[in-house]
Amino acid sequence: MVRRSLSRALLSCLAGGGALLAFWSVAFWSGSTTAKEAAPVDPRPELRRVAERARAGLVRVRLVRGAPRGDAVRRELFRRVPDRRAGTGILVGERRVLVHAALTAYTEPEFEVTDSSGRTRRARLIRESRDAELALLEATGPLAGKPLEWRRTHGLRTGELVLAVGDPFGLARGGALSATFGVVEGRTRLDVRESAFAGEVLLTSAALNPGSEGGALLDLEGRLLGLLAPLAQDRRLEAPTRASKSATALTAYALPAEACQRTLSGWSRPKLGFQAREVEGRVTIVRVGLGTPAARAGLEKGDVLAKVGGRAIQSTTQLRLALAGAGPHSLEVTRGEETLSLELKP
Amino acid sequence: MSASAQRSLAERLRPALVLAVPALGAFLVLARGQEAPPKAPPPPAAALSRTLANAVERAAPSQVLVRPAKGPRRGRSGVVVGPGLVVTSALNVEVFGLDDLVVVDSKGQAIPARLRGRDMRLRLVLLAAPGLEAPPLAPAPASARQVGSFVLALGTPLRRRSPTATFGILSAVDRFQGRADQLDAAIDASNTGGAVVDLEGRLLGIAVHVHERLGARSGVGFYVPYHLVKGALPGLERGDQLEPGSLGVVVPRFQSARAGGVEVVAVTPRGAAARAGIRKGDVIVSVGDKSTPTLLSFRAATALLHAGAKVEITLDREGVRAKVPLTVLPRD
Repeated sequence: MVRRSLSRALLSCLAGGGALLAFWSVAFWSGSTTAKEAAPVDPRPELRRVAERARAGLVRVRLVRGAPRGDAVRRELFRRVPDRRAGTGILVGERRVLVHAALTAYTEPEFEVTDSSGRTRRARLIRESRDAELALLEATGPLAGKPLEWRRTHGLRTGELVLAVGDPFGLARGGALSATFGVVEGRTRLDVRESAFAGEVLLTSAALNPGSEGGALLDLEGRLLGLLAPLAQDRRLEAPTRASKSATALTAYALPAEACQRTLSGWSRPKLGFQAREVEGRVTIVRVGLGTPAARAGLEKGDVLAKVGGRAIQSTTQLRLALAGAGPHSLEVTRGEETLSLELKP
Repeated sequence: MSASAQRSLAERLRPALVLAVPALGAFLVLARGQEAPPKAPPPPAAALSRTLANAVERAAPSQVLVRPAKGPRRGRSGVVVGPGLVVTSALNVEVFGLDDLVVVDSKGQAIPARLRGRDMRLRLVLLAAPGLEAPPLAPAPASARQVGSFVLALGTPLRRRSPTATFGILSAVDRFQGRADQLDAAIDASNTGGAVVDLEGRLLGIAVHVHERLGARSGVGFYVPYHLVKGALPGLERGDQLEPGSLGVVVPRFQSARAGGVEVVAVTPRGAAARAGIRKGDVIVSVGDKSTPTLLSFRAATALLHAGAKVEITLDREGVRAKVPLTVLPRD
């Protein structure tokens, strides 16, 4: 009896379940069809947002003084890259701008940078790396805008959509930078005969032109994938017939984010003027250079770095990351028994 | 006592269960409905971006590198179309010479390849690489070949084995008397001979080089559509060497008033038409089984004739219909 009523209860359970299943599948079916019909198809707001955000993180750069340099840097770069006197730059600090080294291969160069608000300031060359094909400029005063976020290009897939924002042909005079659209074409290593840059570069199908270099290659979330390089004539991509010189392919590529960041942090480190060693989760200062920012901040040999910018430091890698920004950095240092708060101005 | 208690419990439970299960179901459906909005579809550009990357990934295993077995390690693009069969642009092979080729698949395996067939009407060659394990690329349906559709041009340039991709739209179909379609994705030496695919990663055709005048990466590129590749494949597998042919007739530059066909303005001396007995003033009504009422249809009907092909020409000579067999001669 008990079993019978229990089984009857189970049966009604099953019936209910069946009804539910039918209802569910109908709901699912209709749900999926309506979703298909209602698919939005307008990509413009997304692209506009990326372009606008990028413009705030970029500046126009113009060489105002300087004679072409005859040294190895220039020769090596300019075997591939023609003379460049105007381009684009990426804001990496309040006053600092990352540019392509094609723009800085001049003797005693002086620059003018124009930020997104239209204000123009003088700038000077403070760093240059031949291997990275990058250079760093410093403006005489703060520049309007906000540095863009970098994205590691490691997981980037061929075929992903990208925007290239820069100033081709100097068209932005008094207006906004140009945005062009394309895909990640792939990666390649440049021929050592063609380029000083050692490492993989990102190829893009977005249209680049003279003046684009130094601009930004961005993903659809507005993150920086790399710094646009000047168009290169790649000998390996020559047109199939030997007779034709006109159809030689120009490769459009960007120096990937990792390479840019590596160079930037390499530049920012020695300027602080101290060396640190990591022992069992404690980062200890082992050397402070005379008259360096570290010495001015009051840092001494033997100090243990506890925090930088509020972040606890347990390894030199963490330290490097914490000091990657332009600064000034607030330090918390343990010296013997006492804890000191110092300010490190690069 | 306990039995009756259990029974009454079950009895009491039954209506509750009957009600509860559908109620639970309804709740779950509603909950699902409420859960759905946060899982909103990605914004359109991001969705397209993902679709493109997926298409590249899907087509990648069928994309191969063609290079000489010896000498510089640079290579060109090719596409797997059948077991051990690779189609590439004829120009790619000309650059290397026809002997001692190697096909490298996406896993990096290099397999010796040799020329199987050549079709210079379409500027394509078929290479046989026995032992090549790369899968053939699935063709796109005819409906995918529409002006304005998004396309990707894949390449296998330089020393990289993973393909490169450029992106654009199908600009026009049936250029060059129907021998090629036009696209605006960047085409250069690195992806000539590679696959042009749709958003699903299916083969639309093989990118070809037409003329230097049209530039590289100019936004004016061409590919041989798949239906022509498919039509040429049996011949190529047999080892055909097809050269573009010539009928040896001169037709007016503009449509003449003579109805029903295309007037022969002149015949090339010792040309195919002259040998077949076609004379100036004849009106060509059809070529093979294709009628040629207009200049355009005449050009389309003759574009794919190869040297050595035998074709029957229907003529209208002073009001009298005549069928003339003709052997197509090579272009000079």
